[in-house]
Amino acid sequence: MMPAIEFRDVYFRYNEDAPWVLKKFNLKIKANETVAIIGHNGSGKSTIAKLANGLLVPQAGEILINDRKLTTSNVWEIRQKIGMVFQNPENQFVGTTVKDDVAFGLENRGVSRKEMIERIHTSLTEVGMEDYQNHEPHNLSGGQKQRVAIASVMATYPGILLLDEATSMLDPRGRKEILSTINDLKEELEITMVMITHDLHEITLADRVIVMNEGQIYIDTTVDQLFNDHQGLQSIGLSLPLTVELAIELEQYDYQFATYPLDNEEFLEALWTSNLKK
Amino acid sequence: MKSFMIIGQFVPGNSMVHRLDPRSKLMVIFTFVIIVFFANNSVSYGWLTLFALILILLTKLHIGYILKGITPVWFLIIFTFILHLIITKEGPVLIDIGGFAIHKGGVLQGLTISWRFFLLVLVTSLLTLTTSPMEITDAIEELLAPFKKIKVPVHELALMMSISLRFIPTLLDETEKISKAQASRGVDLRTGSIKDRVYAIVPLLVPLFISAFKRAEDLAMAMEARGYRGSEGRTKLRQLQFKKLDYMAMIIYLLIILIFFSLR
Amino acid sequence: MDIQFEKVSYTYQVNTPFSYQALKDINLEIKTGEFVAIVGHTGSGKSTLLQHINGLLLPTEGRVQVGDFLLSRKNKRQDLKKLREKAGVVFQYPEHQLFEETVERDISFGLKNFQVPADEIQTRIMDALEKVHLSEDVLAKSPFELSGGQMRRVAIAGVLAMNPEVLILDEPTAGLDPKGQQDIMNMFNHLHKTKNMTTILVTHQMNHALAYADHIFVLADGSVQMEGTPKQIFSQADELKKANLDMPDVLSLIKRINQMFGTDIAYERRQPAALAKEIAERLRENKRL
Repeated sequence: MMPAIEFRDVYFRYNEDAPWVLKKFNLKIKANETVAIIGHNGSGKSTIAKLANGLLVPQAGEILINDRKLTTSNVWEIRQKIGMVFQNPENQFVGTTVKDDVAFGLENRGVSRKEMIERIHTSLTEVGMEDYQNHEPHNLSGGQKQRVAIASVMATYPGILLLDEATSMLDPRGRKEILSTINDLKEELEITMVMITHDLHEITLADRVIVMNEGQIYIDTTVDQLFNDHQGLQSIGLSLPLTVELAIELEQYDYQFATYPLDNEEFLEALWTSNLKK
Repeated sequence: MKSFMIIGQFVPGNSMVHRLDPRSKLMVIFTFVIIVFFANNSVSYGWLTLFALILILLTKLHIGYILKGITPVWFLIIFTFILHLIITKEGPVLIDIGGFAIHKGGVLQGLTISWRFFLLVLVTSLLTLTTSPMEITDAIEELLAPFKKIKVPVHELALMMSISLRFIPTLLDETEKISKAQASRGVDLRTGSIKDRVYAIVPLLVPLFISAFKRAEDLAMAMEARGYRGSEGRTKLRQLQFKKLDYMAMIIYLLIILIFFSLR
Repeated sequence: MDIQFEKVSYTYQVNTPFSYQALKDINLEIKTGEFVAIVGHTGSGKSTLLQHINGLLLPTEGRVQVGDFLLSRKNKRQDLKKLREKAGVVFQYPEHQLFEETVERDISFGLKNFQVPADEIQTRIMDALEKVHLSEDVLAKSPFELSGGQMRRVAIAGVLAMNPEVLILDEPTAGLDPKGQQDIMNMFNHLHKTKNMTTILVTHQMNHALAYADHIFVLADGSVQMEGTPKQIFSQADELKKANLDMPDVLSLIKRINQMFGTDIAYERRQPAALAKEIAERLRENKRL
């Protein structure tokens, strides 16, 4: 199958005096794959999303979306296939009400009014915001605004969804709302999803995890295998989840973990099995 | 959480006035502003006042709240009255205080002019109290649509207006937040010399501008990502439609105007 | 400085159709030198509450006593500047308040406002810089060329330089990655421990409340719903749920371990290494039985 997103030897920096954010960067994301990209701040992870939909242009290298090279002449057309949710819920809310905000992307695409109303309804229902159609943004919580942002993107039927630290400014409840929304989308639709994040809960939703460090891929692995190199991850400034930390410590007491557990139930199961064998 | 209030701030509701098409309301206000200047006797003034009162009743808003909303304008109304009292020297002298005379003409002139002013402000504030800023923007865009032919960027202007409206609460919150943060660092906007106070605004303005620019940049990027490239080929969700209520209101309003001119 | 709230209520936009009561009959007491967490969901009134402590808001009803300062409706005219010097607030996203041309000038901004003697300012700046773990060479830089994390530290240094007796922290870790969150919280905890600074942490992160606070107030709908030590608070999972709050991760894990293995492991603020040791020992004991 052709890759949904492909980076070929991409170089990028914000200006000529600045250091390279991405250096000879290569990446292939398959269609309908869910990928998490993690890394500490300044590792170049956010730049990837902005390059992928042409908001930034690389100094060298090629970016291909659905096997088509992204150029200045086809960027608007290709962008129709890529939806993007940004970090700050406030700064991406264009409309004066929820309904208007979802409509914005559809109006830009010249969708008829009749179809617009249908799509607004469907996509707001998908994210559980159908009762808020006429609400104004300042009466919504951060999590609700972010759900509207997702609905706005989904209403345009993108094949690829880029989430650029979409949960990092939310409170715990908002974060949970977004995670369950993302999970639903993943289960119900055929969509390629790229989550740029440092939230472990988001990572567990992914099929594949890419760790970025200094403009390059540090590891490209699966969620299960991610913490095998826990020393390496810590050395590039990532912190370990509690269950992984405990598992590592318990290894000193001859407990065995086939994979490092990412949530409580996994941890308990592994501990139980290992305890029996002792 | 805003602890301050804007003059004529929109109060959501479902009264007849709320439900009118914003274009109808704009046209009524616009013509009313002109008509007020044609009032020339107490009967015609009374007729317009009656009209304003009925409008207020129809909005189902509390009259005290409406009057409080125009508090900042009271000063101007009273000032207008006093000004006419002093400068108009017509008719018999009513009071003479140490060579400074108040004439009957001055009182009458003062009353009519300030009453006219009061009616203007009152009725205009009814528009903003019962119409959301977004509806007003829509109405302006629709009413100005013919000017697109002579290359007036009506769509862009309307979008700019709607985005500004959208970000007013955000920026107010931000202003409050930053001024509180700086107050916690010892900035005092209330006391000190004028020079001190002007300097005290800098720590508020710089962060506000920085954040506004950052927001503008983010917003531009988000709009681009969602495929915004100007008005061409764009459809619209918001559509205004005249209803039966609007036609009825227009007919009644026309009658009111006709009666008004017959009373002059 | 002891802090006491007596029957405090606060209403925004009184006498308008938009009026909204954010605090309802709050009673609470914070002793000098304590580390207190005020937790609650967004909209529970915790930000409104914190603004009462340094007089940014005056209670609509009731009174707030902070050291020698009595704050109430009736007592509007007093020098709140003195109070604000003693009760420093680190607001959410404090880097948004930076405005000076250099880091040095921004840190000294508060000091100048509070008329700290000129010869003392330099030492205060260096002191504050050390507390937030920034090196001297940032002083001459513009705060806007620093990274987000560094900007936040500069803003915090600006508050610490005032040598406040009470430090009020409003979601100080918001928007940081997990590592950054840990670093910042450890820094505040260290200050609290070494300088005996009264610290009030306003947060919705239960993990932080559990790890650092001596005493916790749970706010819901503008009222104090629960108060007590972390142990007391987090033993009432149902009550906490009513306030729309979660259990801290480590406690829910321990609870599950205890359920599964029939152990009675307690958290006791143990680091993962010590906790792992405890788990291993208890499981071994269990086997022997």
